[in-house]
Amino acid sequence: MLKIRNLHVSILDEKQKSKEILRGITLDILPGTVHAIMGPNGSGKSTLSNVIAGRPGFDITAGEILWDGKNLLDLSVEERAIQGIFLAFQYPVEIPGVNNMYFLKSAVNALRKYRNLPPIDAMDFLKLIKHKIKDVGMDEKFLSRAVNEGFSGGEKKRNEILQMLMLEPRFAILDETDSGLDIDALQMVAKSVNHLRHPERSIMMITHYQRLLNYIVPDVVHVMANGKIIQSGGKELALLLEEKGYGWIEPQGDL
Amino acid sequence: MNPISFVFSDGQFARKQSTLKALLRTIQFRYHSKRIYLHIPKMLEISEPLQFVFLGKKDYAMERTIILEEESKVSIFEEYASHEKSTYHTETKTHIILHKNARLDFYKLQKESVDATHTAKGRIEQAEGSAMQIFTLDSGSLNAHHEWQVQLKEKHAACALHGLYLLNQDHQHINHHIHVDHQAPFGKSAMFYKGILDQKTQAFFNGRVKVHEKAHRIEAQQENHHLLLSKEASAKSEPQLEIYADDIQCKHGATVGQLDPASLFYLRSRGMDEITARQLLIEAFGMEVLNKISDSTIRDYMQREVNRHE
Repeated sequence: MLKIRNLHVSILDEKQKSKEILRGITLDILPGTVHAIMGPNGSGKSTLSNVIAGRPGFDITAGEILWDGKNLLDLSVEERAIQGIFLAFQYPVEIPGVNNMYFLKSAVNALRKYRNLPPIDAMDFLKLIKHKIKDVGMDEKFLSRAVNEGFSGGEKKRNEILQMLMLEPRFAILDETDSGLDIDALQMVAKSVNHLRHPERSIMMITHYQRLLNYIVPDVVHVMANGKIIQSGGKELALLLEEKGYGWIEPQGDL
Repeated sequence: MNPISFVFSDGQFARKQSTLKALLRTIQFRYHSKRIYLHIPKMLEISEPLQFVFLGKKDYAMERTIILEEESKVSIFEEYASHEKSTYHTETKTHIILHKNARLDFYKLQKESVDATHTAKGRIEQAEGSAMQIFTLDSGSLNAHHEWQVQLKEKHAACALHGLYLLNQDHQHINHHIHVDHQAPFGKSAMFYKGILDQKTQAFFNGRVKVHEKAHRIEAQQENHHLLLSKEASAKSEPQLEIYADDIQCKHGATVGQLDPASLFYLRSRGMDEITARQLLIEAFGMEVLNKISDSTIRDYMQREVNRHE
């Protein structure tokens, strides 16, 4: 589904100097698998998810990302989205003046257009969203408000999950969606992700905590440090990290 | 749009094109050599807006006096336009007097020919408890100049001035000089102006709030924001506060910026194409001012003009 080969990514820092953030990432995401990516702050986890989603401002200096065998980096942000790549943002932006419901409907219709389907019927959309909004435990009043404007941290994350449920992506990336969530919200996220699990769908979760992985059991756990994946393993790896921290693992890698 | 309308062509009253109803028996409307006099008697409330249409082709200058007697309430919608693309200068002077507890909602749409110059100067005097609201949408003229001098002369008078201006033709220029004078206690004033500038266009905004010594317990707000869509567009905002009283609340904010790349990425990451996403963010920027219009018919009308312009 997604193949990342020796990916090197740099950004320009405040002094306009090039700084390498990802230093040779190789990763295979097979259909139906759930990957957890862990690692200390600054290891490049968020950069990896942003590069996959297509955020501008990153310089890809080497390597490639293949999506269904084609070069993902040739696709615009919106093309990636309509082809099924979804990023649940770590810090969802507030967009005053853009109605949340209108935004969701536009997103659904962009997808439908790509699949040569007519725009969704207004009543069908309403029915669908009222059903999904219950699943994420959000009040309906948030639909009539501007996108994320004045939402609490938890409400913003619920809104991300709501979008994910509406768009049913083939590859969903959850960038620290669990950070700052209470246990109820965490269980909602887990329930939603588990509900989406499907042989044709893959998920990549970026997290600092093993806690989330109790609810969403990953197939593979990767540890990133310093722009590289330094260890991959089964779900036991997350438990080991929880117990021992990252220290025991880092010296082994070629940093 | 509504049944009571006054139409002027190059400053001359066009009686035949105007629709005057029985209402003119209750209000006073006089017109003489490009001077308009409108008088709303005591206690009269008119629910439908009075519409003024000014069509230009040649230079013209007009003077207006609008008087609202005690406890009267009216809204005025005026539109400046041209049937054809031509070069002319419109110059208006407006003097508005609001007596005790009078209320005026004043809406203005300036969509003159793109070669025209529009100059509007206005003076407003407000008595105790009176309330005035102004909304201006600028979508036309090569040069536009707006001046409002508001004097809140007695206690509990309130004024709110709002504006949205859209510039997208090279060399278009707009400037605002909005001055509010708090002369009495317990007054309220708000200024909220936004500009969307594309191509090689320029905007200048000067907002001044003066709070006199005896004008205690007043609230004043001033906001002016510009969205620049091209590298050649430029905007300057000059907020001024002159305060001689204690115990008052004044807030002001001014920004000049581009479309937020993070918002743009967010919308696109949900499948919206770049052009649509940009358009949506531009509309959203203007929406915040349009939403200040309480009359939904007028708001829709203005909204259509904004959409037509883009």
